[in-house]
Amino acid sequence: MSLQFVLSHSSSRGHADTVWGTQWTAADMVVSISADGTAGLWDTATGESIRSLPPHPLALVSLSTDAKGSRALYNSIEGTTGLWDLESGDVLGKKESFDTKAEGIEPAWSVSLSPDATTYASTGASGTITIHSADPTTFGRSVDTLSPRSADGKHKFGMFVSYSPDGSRLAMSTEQGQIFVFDIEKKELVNSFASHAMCVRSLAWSADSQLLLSASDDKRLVLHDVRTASGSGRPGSGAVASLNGHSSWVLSASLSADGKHAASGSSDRTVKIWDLSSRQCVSTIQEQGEIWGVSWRPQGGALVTGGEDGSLKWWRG
Amino acid sequence: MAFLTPVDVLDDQDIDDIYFEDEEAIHFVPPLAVGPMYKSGHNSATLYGINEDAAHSQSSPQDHIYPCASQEWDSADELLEHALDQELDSDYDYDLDLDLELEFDLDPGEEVFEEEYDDGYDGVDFFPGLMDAASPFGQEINAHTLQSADLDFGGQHLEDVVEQLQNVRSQAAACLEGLALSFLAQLASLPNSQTHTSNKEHASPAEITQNLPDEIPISSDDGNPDNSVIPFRKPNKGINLSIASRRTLAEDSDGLALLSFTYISSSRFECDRRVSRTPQYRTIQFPARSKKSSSAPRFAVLFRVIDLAHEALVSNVPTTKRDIFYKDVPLFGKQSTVDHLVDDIAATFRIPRSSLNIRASSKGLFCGASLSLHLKHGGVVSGDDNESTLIPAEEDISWVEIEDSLEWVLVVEKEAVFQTLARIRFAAGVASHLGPGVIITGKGYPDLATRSLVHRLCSLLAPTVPVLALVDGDAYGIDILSVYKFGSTSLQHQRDALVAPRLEWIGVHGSELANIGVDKDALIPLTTRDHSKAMAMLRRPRAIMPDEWRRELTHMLHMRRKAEIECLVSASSVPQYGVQGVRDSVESSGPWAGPGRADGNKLVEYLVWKIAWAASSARC
Repeated sequence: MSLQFVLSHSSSRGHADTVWGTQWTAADMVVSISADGTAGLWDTATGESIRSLPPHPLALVSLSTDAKGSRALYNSIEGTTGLWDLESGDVLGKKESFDTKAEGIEPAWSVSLSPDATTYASTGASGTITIHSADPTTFGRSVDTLSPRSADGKHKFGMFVSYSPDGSRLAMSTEQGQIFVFDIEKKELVNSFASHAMCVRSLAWSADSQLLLSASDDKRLVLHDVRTASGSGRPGSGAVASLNGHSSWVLSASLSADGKHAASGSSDRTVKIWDLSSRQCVSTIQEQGEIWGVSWRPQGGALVTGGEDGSLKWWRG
Repeated sequence: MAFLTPVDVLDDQDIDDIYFEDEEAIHFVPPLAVGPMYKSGHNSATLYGINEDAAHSQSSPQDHIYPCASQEWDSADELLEHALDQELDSDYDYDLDLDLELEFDLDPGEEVFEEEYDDGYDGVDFFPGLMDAASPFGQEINAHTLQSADLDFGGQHLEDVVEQLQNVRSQAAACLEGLALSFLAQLASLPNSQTHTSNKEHASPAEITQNLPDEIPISSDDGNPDNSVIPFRKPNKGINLSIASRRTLAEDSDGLALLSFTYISSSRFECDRRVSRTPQYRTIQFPARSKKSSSAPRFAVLFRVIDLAHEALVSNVPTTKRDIFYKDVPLFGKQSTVDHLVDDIAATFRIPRSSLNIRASSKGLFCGASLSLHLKHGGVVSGDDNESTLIPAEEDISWVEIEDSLEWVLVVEKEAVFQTLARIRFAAGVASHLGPGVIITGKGYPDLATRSLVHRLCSLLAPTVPVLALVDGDAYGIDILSVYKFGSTSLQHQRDALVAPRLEWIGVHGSELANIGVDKDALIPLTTRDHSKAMAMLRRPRAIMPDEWRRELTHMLHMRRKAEIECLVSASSVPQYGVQGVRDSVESSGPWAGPGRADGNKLVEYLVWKIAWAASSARC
């Protein structure tokens, strides 16, 4: 069985450089960030730009939205984290995390906004997660720190961090391929997965917060069951499925809301749609450049991808 | 009024004798604020004298000190000359435009200086105990001998001739001496319980002339040292020597300014800010400010370097930084200590390091029969297509001979690449159907000789000849490229003669590797050092970090991989830009065909593609 996805429309004018993150919000709009330092809000029906953030001098590398789709959190490559109100267009808060002299914090690399938009998590070069306040009045103030205990003290670069949709867990992936899941309330590590040995660039939660999909440079996507405790420590424990098929790094992943399909973008210039029950690739979309951002429509049935040329494309099945 | 020489003060016994036995407290003219002595370029100063009579009266301290001389001079060493003369030579009546005369009476028992005033001033003569130098300028002529020789200079003024003969080296020597003398002068005026001391805080030139001190209280007999007040700035007992700190040395208004490497907010990330014109100085202090270390080693290191540099100047025997380091390894510790200090001293006096007679050892190589370097002392260094030739120091090169058939110049970062290309006679053009060219390497970060050669070629060659750079697509490669093209942070004051604005970056670009078929896994993971270096470079102003380079660094950081020249080995589809039959000729040309040919092949193909494209676009 294969699904056909056809191009619905593209963005009216794209970013000047590669799109490095896309998110289809619950408010049925698409937010995107780019290497040229801009972030944009797009109308999903027409592809027109609704508004865009004033350009940042350096590239934006991380994007996260809250459950309602009213606020977006972005982070730039040097560690300037900002909160963007999507309805009004204002920047509600900014934190310059590269100023290490201030608190002994490290520059943020990947950031994630909690679903209720009260806190956000950031991770950086040392691989520890710092939870900050996302309240506009106290934006950026450090609330907590979570750190995986590492057996070997090797350098772990935190590549991606993400809140689960129910707000109870935080997942983090590292440049070495490890994936850690923390329980926020108990402030402890509940799961660690060693399914990859190469950089895991992106994580995607399922809507019920039970499954975690990881996209790695080893050309695979691995679906993990977060419910099972991986205390046995065996490599691969907790992994439910492995999706193979890409011929180069997998850069981005997204799980559909109904839990049936996964989408992945890769540096082999394709977007693949996977059926999770059969673990097979059901559709391949050939693109012209690397795909760093894929995002399913929360209501289902459509997909948005962000490409190397800076444009966004909407696909419907 | 008695004069104290620093030599005398060094002996504790003498101090006691002088200070305590003599009823009349010794007054001496406080040495000039030490700023002008070694800030060449600044050419005015104010000298303060002590009013002897007022000192004995009950008048307020302000009356004790008066500005007795203020003068603008044309050059720093002239100022130095005058200032030190009047300070040290008591017989000399110093007559200024302000009609102030200073007369210094020597106590008969305190005669220190017996030498007569010498027109050809050389501080060495006044401190026979300090330096064992023979005639300071060796074989060179100075005013003294000229005068006595009674020569005819074709109508020129004696001063002009002397000036012409006294080259930059003598100025440099004078600057070095000034630094040492200021230290000694400060040493002579350290706080003492009995007498007044005025402590010197190094002040900026503007402050010296503008902010005449209001008061310099002379400590009374209770000798509370805390009463002594710095005339110019904040109180600081002890000795201060300031030398330039090159990291934050500012440029003139038409130059570029490097922001010092501190974190700044994002709103200022991209602006081309000009640091203020005042150069930044760092101060070596005694007593040391920090609790953990003593300042004596810092002074010792500074003076050892100055001593060796002065010796090189005076005896006219060039030395190198490495040489200086090995003269006293336990003192210096690391080669970089000497390196930084020598460059800082040169920056303080705003002279090129070669003027200190410290030569940089060359490490750069070039290859290509089209280039010949003619040296000042005769002799020609001619290039060869097969062999590498060491690039001579910039001060040795008289002129550069370039063949008309020269079509391109390639600067490579790595010596290994250079040797590969030399072995296959790439510069001759035969193997690549490109035309003859010149390959230069700096073996990593280029030294002065390499940079100045590239600069020369850039200014001499016609615009149709492209000057290209092949560096790794990582942070250090781009930094090396930046050093060639825009200058280095450490030699900002010599920048203009060393930059090569024409230099184009042809590779390796991380973004193009996908197009030429290099597998992403062939790229090398980023290390923490790479990451920090790249982040630091992203903060540079746009003038020295073009957008294209910034984009490459950004993508490299995001990808967590860097592209090195070795990655080309796995390139599967290098375009053949407009050059017919390159592959055939490359495979069939004999000497280097064999195992490893594949590496040479891919690199050559890549370079041919890039150079041909650059050459053809340069011709348009």
